[in-house]
Amino acid sequence: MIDRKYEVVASNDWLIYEFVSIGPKGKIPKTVIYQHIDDNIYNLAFGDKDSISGNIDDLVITDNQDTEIVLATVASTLFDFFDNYNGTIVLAKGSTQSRTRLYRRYLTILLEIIEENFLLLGELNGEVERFKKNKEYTSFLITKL
Amino acid sequence: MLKDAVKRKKTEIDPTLTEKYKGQVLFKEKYEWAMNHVKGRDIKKEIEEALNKERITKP
Repeated sequence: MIDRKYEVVASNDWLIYEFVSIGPKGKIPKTVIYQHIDDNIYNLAFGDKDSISGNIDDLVITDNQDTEIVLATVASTLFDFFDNYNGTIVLAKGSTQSRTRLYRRYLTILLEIIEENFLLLGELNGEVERFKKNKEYTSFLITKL
Repeated sequence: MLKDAVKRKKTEIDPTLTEKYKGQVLFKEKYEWAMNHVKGRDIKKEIEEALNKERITKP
């Protein structure tokens, strides 16, 4: 059960967020970024920050046994983002097919809280529809109600 | 509780963050995918159409 999230710090423009994952692999800095793609579209991306090089990797498998907390923390940044970027649409997709499947699973778990505040849609075969459980969406769209 | 995990809590600002990543394209591959994915599309309209379709087909 997801029962907590990590403390987050945000950039001045509310487009970049950082937090630290804590688990058996130690403390792993994470970065969440909303990238401006088009007029009112932002791409949501997140990954691990290498503490030495500062590079950010969204393909690394951290295995810090806190996936639920990490994804709840990423979801929590949507509130700050939409507070400051009203009327925009966020596009989200995993960096790999298995990550997209993982996001789908957690979006299903988080669906109740997300739908209270946002409109969540799934994309499949070029079709957009309101997110439904158990559908193999390849990407997701989130906007404020 | 799930709701407690995601619910709002005042987020602190780190004024150095914007500067730290200035000029960098992070998650380049995903960024390029996203650019191509929305190219030539009117996503807002697609969402509106999806919701309209839902209203029409709802029993």
